[in-house]
Amino acid sequence: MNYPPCFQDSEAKKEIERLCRENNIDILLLKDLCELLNEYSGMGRKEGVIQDIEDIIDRFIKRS
Amino acid sequence: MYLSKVHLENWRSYEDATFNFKKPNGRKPLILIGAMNGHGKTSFLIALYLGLFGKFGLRYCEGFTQDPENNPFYRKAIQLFRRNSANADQPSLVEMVFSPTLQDTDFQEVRIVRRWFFDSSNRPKLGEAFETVEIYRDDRPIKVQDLEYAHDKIEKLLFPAHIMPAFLFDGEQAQMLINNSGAPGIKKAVEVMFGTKIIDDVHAQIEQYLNICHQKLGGKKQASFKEQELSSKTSERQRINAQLTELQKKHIEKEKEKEEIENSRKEAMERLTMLGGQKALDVKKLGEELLMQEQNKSTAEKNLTDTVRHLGLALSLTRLGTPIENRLKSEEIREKWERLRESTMERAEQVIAVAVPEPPSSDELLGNLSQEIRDRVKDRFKRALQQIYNPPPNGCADSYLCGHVKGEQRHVVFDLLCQVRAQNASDIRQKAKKLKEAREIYEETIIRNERLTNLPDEVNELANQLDSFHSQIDEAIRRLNSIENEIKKLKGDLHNLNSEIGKLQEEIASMEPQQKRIAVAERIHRVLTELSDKLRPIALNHLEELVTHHFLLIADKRFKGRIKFPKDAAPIFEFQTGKSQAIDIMSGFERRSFGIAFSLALAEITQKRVPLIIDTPLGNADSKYRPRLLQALTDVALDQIIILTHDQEVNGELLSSIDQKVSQKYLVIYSDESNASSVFENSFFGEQK
Repeated sequence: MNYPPCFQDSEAKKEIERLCRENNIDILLLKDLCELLNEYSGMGRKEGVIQDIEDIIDRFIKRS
Repeated sequence: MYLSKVHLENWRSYEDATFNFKKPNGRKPLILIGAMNGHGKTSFLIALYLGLFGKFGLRYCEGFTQDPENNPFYRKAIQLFRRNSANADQPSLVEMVFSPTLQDTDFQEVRIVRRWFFDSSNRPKLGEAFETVEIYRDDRPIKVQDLEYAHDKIEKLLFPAHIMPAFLFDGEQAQMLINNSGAPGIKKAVEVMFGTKIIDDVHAQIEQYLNICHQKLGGKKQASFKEQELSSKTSERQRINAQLTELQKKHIEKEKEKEEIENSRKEAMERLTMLGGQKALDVKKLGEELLMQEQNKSTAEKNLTDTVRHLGLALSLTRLGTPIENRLKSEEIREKWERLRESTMERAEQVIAVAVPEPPSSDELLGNLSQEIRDRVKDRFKRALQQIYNPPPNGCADSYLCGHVKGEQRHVVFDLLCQVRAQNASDIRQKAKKLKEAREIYEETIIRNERLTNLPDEVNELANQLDSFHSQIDEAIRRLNSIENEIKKLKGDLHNLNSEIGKLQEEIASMEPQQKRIAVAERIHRVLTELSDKLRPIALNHLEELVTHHFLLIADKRFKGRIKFPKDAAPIFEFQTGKSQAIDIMSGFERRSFGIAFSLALAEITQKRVPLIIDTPLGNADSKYRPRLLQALTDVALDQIIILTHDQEVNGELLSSIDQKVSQKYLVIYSDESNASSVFENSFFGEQK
């Protein structure tokens, strides 16, 4: 897994954790979405990205 | 990742040359590539720029920064970089291999081969036939549709193109790094490498996802009662958000306004200080000082008068004091002597009456003498008595010169003389000094009084202005507090609304899977909206801290403070004293130091283990800077640092000091005979094998 460095920075991580807690989602959901968009980065047309987002959200709903 | 191979064909002076770099082991991150000027150092760096990102990389090549998007210009540039004696049918080629280090668990080897083709006249081929790129991942080719796709793919596999000059750069191009580190450059670098760009991308995609979901549900007309309520709450939230944005804007404006008034007040205060002298901080103080100086003036005048009076008496008596005192003493002796003599003579008749008693009949001894004889005896006794007081005692005055000063009066004069004698020369000098000082203070007071009395209008005007500024600042603070309260209240409302929306979404979500997804997506949207704003200042703060850290290790000791990246402006160095200096007007080596510090900081903040390749990092640095800069380079936790250098840069003691951190050395030598540069591994200046 290759997440953006902000997920490893202690100060940034605290903010991310606080916001996730307040909005009742988990960090994994954000990490998955970031990784997905990283995969799609550099592509002009991001075909299939909406379906992939939905899959990630479904995985979150299932595990929560 | 580290650069494990660079292969160049028909590239400037390189006919066919390969550099194979060993896997870094952590203790020895340095690789030295030595070459004299014109033997192939910069060609090596340019090969990396163009080999990696082709046309885009041209903007970072020295002398080609203008019009980088111009395609014919790019072809011409490549023609210039092509080896001039290359065979027409042979392309110019740059091949690079980036391999994983031990720490790179999820990085696979990336090989990029870029070729440029030329026609039989050695002119760049037209159209797509000019340039090709091959990309391999773990030796497996990646299908590359076109050059644009290749560019995106390389960015994704390695690092973004526009941060390339932060890791691969010519020491002379430090200015470019400074420019790139300005607002747009720094924003891009931090966004991409700290991850905020991806956060923004996710945010945009989630927004799109939400729109699509709503469309799938048939729009808001078809929405259920709950959805209508949700829609109404969402609209309310949008309204509050807009209101909040407006208030925050007003808050910033008001802050600015307050700052301007404070600056004007400061100017007025400075003007007032100039008018009233150093101690006159405002009109009230000026008035107080005027009064005080007037009092000082009166005291000085009194002191002056007293001092002169005392000084006059002292001066008149000082020289004649001793003779007068001596004279008075001798006259006092005379006076005592005369008094004693007169008193004795007054009693002379009684003494004679004892010696020659009357009548003669009572005088048994001399009674028979005639009266005449008896009178003569009495006269002799009298003369004998008088003889007791002759001559007068020692120190007795012959006559009275100060006959009018007698008895008690003489003692008053003695006391006065004592007082005068006590006022010796130093006492008189001190009094004279005090007199001079008093006169100076007095004159200064007069001048200041005159100055103040000549400037009442301007001073009063300034005082009025100051009063007005005070009121305006009070008003601005009052307004700011009021806006802050409004913002606080709105944020509270927003928080409540968000919880209500959340609850509604949960309720709706329990009805339909799609609505459940919408509820989650809404929450993700909220997180990302706030996160994006929170992460930027954190990233920027880290970057400032790290650039400062590295810069201070390299730069002169007089630099005490912090590097700042102001919004929409070039970076500055803010000294502890409060003064600041723009980096781009610093000396050449300080700019170079900043460039290197910036690269090292970016490498740390982004945690990208990108190889750092620097062409002539020391340049014309003096003997103090050289070891510090090299030390800074070797101290940072990077896997691979390739230094391109010449024989006068890293040599002698400097080379010995870093030798234990050097894993490989190369020497590039250009030969006129073969018209080509040859690469010698394990060789360096003075160590040729």
